[in-house]
Amino acid sequence: MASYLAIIGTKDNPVYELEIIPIKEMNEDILKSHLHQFVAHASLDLIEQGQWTSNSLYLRSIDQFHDTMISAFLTPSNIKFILLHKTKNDDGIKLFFQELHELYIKMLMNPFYEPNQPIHSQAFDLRVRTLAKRQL
Amino acid sequence: MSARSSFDGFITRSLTELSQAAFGLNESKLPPYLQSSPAKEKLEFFVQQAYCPHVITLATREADTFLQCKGFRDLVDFLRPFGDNIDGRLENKIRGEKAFRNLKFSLRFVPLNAVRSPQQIMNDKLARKSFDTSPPSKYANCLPSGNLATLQTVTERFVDYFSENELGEDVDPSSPFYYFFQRLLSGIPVSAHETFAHPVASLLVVTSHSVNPLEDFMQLYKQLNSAAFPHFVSRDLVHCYIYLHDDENSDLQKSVEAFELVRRSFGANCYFLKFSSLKDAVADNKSDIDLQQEVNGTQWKSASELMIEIETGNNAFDEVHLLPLPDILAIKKVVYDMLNESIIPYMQRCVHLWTERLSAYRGSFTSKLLLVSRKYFSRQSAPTDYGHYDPTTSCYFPDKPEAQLRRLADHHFMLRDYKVASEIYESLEKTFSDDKAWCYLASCQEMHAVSMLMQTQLLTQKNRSVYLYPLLEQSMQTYIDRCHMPYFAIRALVTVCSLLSTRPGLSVDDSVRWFSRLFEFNLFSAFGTAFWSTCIATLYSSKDSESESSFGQRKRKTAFWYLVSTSYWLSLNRPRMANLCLQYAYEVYETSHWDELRVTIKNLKDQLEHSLE
Repeated sequence: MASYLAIIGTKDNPVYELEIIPIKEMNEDILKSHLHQFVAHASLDLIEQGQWTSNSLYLRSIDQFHDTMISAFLTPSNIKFILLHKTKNDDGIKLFFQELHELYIKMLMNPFYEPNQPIHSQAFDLRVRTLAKRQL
Repeated sequence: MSARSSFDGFITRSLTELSQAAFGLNESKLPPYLQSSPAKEKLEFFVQQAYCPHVITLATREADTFLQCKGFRDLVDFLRPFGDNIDGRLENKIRGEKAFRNLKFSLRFVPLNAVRSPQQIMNDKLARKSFDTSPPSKYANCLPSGNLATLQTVTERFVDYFSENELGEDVDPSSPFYYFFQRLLSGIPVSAHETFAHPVASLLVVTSHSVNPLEDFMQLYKQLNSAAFPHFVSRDLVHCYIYLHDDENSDLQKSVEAFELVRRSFGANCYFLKFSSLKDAVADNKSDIDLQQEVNGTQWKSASELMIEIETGNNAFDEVHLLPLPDILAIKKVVYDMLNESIIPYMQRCVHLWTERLSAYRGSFTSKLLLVSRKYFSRQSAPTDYGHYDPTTSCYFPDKPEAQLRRLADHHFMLRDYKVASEIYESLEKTFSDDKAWCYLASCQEMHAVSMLMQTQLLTQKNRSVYLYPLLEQSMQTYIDRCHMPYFAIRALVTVCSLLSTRPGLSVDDSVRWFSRLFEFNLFSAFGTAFWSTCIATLYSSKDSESESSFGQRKRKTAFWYLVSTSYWLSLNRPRMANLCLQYAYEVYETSHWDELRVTIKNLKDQLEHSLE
């Protein structure tokens, strides 16, 4: 099931992006990736609004664009995790976000990493991919 | 310090201020970014001007000829633009004291043969085709809207016209949406289930060229009375009379005397209109340019009429006439007087009368229950108060209480009394549903939803989902499934979505969700996909405000939808429109910290500039 994950910083800058495409759909056109980025960017408006009305960090499904659903998770330091997905999977996505949050916190504890900067670490990338395969 | 930089993103506002904003208490205490916006006022203005009293206008042949010499098609064509925007005075009783509200009103002047049902118009058209060779534009000003294909063509032409002619830095790409909205609401068809297009007043016009003005007025009156209105249209009208004095060819003294005679015969609703002559202008030593002023064509032409103008090669979008300034002022004064002294008081009197007469039918639930229980428990005394629906003609005759109640509700709506109007619509829904009068039911639900939105009180999320959305859903379904009138369903959807999007609070997302249904209907096919994307961007952009806080704003959403519509317009081979949409998106994305977005938008802009050369 194809999804797109983006971790967005406080200035609308992308900190980390990941296209999760199962092997079966690998042959399909990936030209739509630009559209994913624009869709994620557009849903930031709704996150900024939803953060004041919701108590929890997991904001659930905040938006929909045609058949793509957008779920979001907001960290206490105002970093947004946005996931674009086609199928509904609330529990799986919630667990995914929570574990992603823990991975992100571990990243933050690295003194050489400045918050809001892009994450280039391959270890992080590998862990996120494994997590995605497991939960999504 | 690196840790502190990550806190830059925190927005420092007090939670109390935001909680009020989020949950919306009293509208007047709302922060400025949640109060009335220009977009809201514009849309409400359109709705108010669309649902306005219709005035049948009859003129003598001399009057028509006189105005044809001035460059108009006939008298109705001449009067129409002056009905668009009139200052009206509504009386308000606040704690026993009379107060006046100054509001913008509108009057729709229609010719006599505009008061026909669409079926009659179709029959007449077919009958005419065989022997009539006069140009179609002669009948253009009485054609109502209702044809979706025509609407599509007119909208497409407007988009082309708009993108070709609007040049400059800050062109607003939201104009096509407002134009479409106006076209959707203009030319309301004369139908049984809604009475907005039924005439409220009649206007008889005689000029000073006529030898016997009284006789001419009687002739026109007879013509009016013998006209074949559809059987569901009530003939209760207020009659107004205008005596048009042409200063160039007639003597003022004689005209004034004739007018006095007319006034003595007909009573209060007579108005004297004086057209100035060149003699006055020369005498005052004013040049032609000073004296003349431009008058735009009426904004409320129906799509069918615009279609005919397009086909005959006239300029459908930018009609302008030149008239002497004193004449313009004189006409505006007469129309103002007519509205405030004849028409509004008449409507208010009707409302009073009907409210008294129909209070029994609008009674409490208990009285209705009693009637119903009597119906079930005693076969002999079936109540004759309800069930006047005539399935053969699918209408209620105008003297039946249901039709009168509907008329009362529509009058309340036109007089800006939305609360009472929505109460009456609500009470009528049950009646129509029991009688299986589907068109009436759908229309009532539509108007109930619209009048809910026109009221100024706040609609919470709960109220919206419990009351408003089911109304809209049922109305659309009934229109489409049972009445087979997709035009009205589209009208209901677009009106409710537009009004909903400008409400204070967070209703714009719901509004866009409903509006996206138009994609599912596949309305207007490929042009539609591009056009609805632009409309959605317009709906989001109505939330733009100058304030610094970003709560409730949808800048990124607006930019995204403009970008989507740019790509659709490009695929439809309309690069100018695409360019207009791209300008807004470009402003938002070029300063973004997201590199790929910036690069993509730059490439798109270069591609467009290349294709525009």
